[in-house]
Amino acid sequence: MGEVLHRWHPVAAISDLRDRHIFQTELFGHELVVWRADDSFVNVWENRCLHRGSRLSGGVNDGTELVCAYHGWRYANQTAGCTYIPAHPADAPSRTVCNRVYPSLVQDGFVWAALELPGELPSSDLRHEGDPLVLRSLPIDVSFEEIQHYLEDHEFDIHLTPNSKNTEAELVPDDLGLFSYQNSTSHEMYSLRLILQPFNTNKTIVHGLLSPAPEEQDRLASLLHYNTQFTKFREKVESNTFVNPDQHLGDINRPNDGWRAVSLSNTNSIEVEVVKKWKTAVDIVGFEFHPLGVDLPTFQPGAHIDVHLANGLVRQYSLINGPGEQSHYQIGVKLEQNSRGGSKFLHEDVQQGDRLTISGPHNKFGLRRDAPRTILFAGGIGVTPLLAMAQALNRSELDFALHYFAQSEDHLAFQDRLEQLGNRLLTHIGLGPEETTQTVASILGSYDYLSQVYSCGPPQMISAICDTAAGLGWPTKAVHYEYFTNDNNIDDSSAFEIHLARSGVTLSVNSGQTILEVLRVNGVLLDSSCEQGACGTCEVGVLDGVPAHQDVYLNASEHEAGNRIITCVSRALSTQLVLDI
Amino acid sequence: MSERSCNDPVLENLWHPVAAVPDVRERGPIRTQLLGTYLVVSGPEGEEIVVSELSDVPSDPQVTVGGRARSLPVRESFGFVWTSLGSPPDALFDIPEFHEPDRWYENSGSFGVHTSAGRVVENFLDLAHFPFIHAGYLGEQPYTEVKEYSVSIENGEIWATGCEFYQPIAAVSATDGQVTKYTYRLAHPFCPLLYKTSPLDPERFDVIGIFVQPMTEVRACAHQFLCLLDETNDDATIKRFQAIIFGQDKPILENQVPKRLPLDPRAETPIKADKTSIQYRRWLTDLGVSYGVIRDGNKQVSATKEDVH
Amino acid sequence: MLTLYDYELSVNCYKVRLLLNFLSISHKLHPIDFFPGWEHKSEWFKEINPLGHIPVIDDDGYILRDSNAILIYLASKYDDSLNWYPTHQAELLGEVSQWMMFSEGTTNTASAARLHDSLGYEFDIEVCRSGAHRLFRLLDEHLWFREQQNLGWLCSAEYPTLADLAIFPDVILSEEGGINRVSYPAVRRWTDRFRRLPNFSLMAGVLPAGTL
Repeated sequence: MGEVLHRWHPVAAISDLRDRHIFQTELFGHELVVWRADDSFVNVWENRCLHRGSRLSGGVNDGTELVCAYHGWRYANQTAGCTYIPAHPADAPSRTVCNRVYPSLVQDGFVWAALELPGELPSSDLRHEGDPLVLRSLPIDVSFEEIQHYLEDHEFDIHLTPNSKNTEAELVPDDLGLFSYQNSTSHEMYSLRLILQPFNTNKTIVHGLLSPAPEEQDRLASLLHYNTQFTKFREKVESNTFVNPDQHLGDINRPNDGWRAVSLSNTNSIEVEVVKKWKTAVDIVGFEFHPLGVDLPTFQPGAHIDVHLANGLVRQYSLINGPGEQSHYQIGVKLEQNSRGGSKFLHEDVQQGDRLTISGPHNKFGLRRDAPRTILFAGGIGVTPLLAMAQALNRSELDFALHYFAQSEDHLAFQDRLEQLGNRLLTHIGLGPEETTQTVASILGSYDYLSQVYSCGPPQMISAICDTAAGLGWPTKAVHYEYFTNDNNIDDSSAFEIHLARSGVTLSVNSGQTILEVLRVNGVLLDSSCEQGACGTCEVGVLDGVPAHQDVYLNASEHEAGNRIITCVSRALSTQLVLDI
Repeated sequence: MSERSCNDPVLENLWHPVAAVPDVRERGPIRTQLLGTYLVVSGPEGEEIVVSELSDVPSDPQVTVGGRARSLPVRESFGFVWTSLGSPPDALFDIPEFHEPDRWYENSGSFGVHTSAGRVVENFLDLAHFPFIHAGYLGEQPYTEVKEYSVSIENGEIWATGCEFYQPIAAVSATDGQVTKYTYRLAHPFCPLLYKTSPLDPERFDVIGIFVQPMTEVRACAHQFLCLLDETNDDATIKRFQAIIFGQDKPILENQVPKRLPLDPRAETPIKADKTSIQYRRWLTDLGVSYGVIRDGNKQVSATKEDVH
Repeated sequence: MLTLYDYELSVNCYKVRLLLNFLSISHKLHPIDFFPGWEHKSEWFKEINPLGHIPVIDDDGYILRDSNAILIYLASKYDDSLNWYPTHQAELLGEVSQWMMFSEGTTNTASAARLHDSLGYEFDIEVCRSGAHRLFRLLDEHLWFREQQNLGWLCSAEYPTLADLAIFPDVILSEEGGINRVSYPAVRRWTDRFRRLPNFSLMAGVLPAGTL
């Protein structure tokens, strides 16, 4: 049985995935969804949202993401990473929130998947030229071992065209799960291949390929003919087989394999190749990075990455990707006049074909999607995170506008992406500071309780926007901004020390760091899961000191007792905590 | 059909709802299931209501007089018939509002659903699905945020207070929408109650609840309960509303996998908005409930065909 | 103004509500306390429909019962396109009638199973479920071959008809009766198409399909 788990099995025909359908099936009792994104990437995932176990087959495929029907969680094409949790619009989902992806590939008109890392795709010596005809797949309520047994004796009426005769088609012994019939006696060489998909212990799907495919005018007749053949086979098999309703289904629907307790490494670096470098505006160059040997992590609009340069510097750049664009990252780099070697290096020294190290995405500037209207103010290179947001909003039902302030038309970057925004994009060219402020004021108007603002650009512009908005009655919670400087954002939460009782080591937890991170960086690999303070996996005992609890896992009296702490979110009220590790 | 027998002394010794009193009085004996055991509830007008365990289950659904085995303990509370398979406590939890003279209460329907009782309860406690599943009724997109609320354990009951959800008003005029406030209470593992400020008197609360009957590990019956201030209201409107809300939850409830509620917090991915359900799963674990839940996640779950509905 | 005697959770009432909304016919709903009140069996309602069933419509004094009859009346009277019930094309009309008869089968199997599982009606549940699966297999085969001819609806037209409308509710709510549709991929895609129709209306138990 174990060996069969490593094989490829067909799970859907490509034609089953049309029109953003979410196809539902099973393999050895594991429930799967198969869906195609608008960029043609075919995804095979476990049919279960890992939040509360809802079947994703009840959700929506919007062409770039799968949206769960229950709470609207969104999962990215390719990576299955969660990009948005509507209940907490301000929080980017933790990297560990990622649905299970199965190995898959597309061949011969089918999507093939495997439960474990598989070997070679089964191929047949009977392949002919051109694409085979994919027949109608038929589910049969019998186990696949039984069906194999019946297939050994069953005679199909096989012919290629309505006029050709069935003359002694031979059953060619083949791999487990493949049955091939070849007609070798007539002068027409053709073959019928049957491939069995073990759905669960009581159901098997019979897929078929006819090769070579008949002429277009005979296609429908062939499909009908084999459908009839398979249906007759099914009637025979189902009426002869007793189905034991109490038969257990093995490893079906385990709540979670291995509990998703993820041990993250303390490095966050990804090797990429510069596949494209192009001038996109007068002083801005675009870069496209492709990963080497790994998948790029899921990102959300507003995220940025660290780029490690050969000259030793690290610089942060926002991703301009739209939703579902998972196979590469694109950024824009403006040549700063006072460049200390970052943007200058990228502009002059980094070439197409070069390799770099980048980090995964960080998101301190996430897009909230709970406002009916979003106003985006971009100043110069500040357009980059807002462009990612605009592309996400453009696919939604929410109203938005991107106001792009630039020195001249030649300073406008990424025109191809801007064009997709249609009349949601408004450019403001060559305005001085006062005119900018007046323009912003007239765009904002007084606060309408429906809108929110995101702005990114030079500090003076951001201050002007914030002051103007405040003056017009906008609350600060509705006005979000990000500065583009080379400094890290300073987190004003407290710094404190942790003393590890068992090893005798004392460590500092600085502003912006969590206890969990600091432990890991220092080699104490604690398991975690949600990293939101909800699941309790990263809990540690507290022997001394006063924790500052930020979690929702421990209840009020446990918080008061103070002898446990959830290390992914909680901090300290005292200057030191003594931890029982 | 073979059922796993219960073997859960915690649940066996509790009171559970099995029928609405008017249904028994007006529609004759009702055959149902509790923790896998077949029961008959009967009690024509003027007689005591009796709950009997059926020792053999007749295949014809019309036959309700099978080989009856023992009679089970019975009580009528809040308009429903409650029984127990073991030795239940003397008292059932109380709902003080139920005794207030100016209230009316309503049996607004008992609906079967293909999932475990725990899943039904958790769904009732959840706010985050309002704009998605109950769009136009309890919430609306894009107003999806669940703000922080408090959960505490008092006298062995779970209370969630300070829950708020934003329901925008239809008016074009630019003022803030209406924030509806909720308090949830769990006085019994399968009987969540919701307290909502009464539109008639801001100092008092309407009580809405479901009393969930665990029929089998993967099947439940949700008995809808209402206890409101307004006796002149069109009760049909409110009953229908409750039925619609439950109907909207059904395709979600029936498509959660696994059907039994996983108690290990790492089995699924709770977030801050799930605070009440995190405490609920911990509570079930501490009580020792084993039927209809998955306690030890590291053991393989041997699912039955029912799980694959 | 047309009145519909209605219960939100009734599959047959949903069929009528769907068409009223597709055709934007102004109407008012008279809710009947079907469950647990059994108002449809009450004296006053039996004067309107002696069979004690819903839906029933009252179109300014014209009273009609039975969902299929109501659908035919509404389409014939209010649908200017004549798409839903093509009285002017005999062969197509024949097909529509054939499938509307088929919907009696889906109602008596899938929707009966739903009444058993949800509301405790006493039916032979195994007979209902196996009957529904037999019919769904037929539907799946039929719809798959329609897709091969670049058509998406039950009858030989490029638009939906009362055939699709009469069967859709029984299919989309089948899980409530313990009948899942994982083995019927062409049926599942047909339910996507139906839910994407302009002026499509949901009912409790139906999830929206995404837009294209």
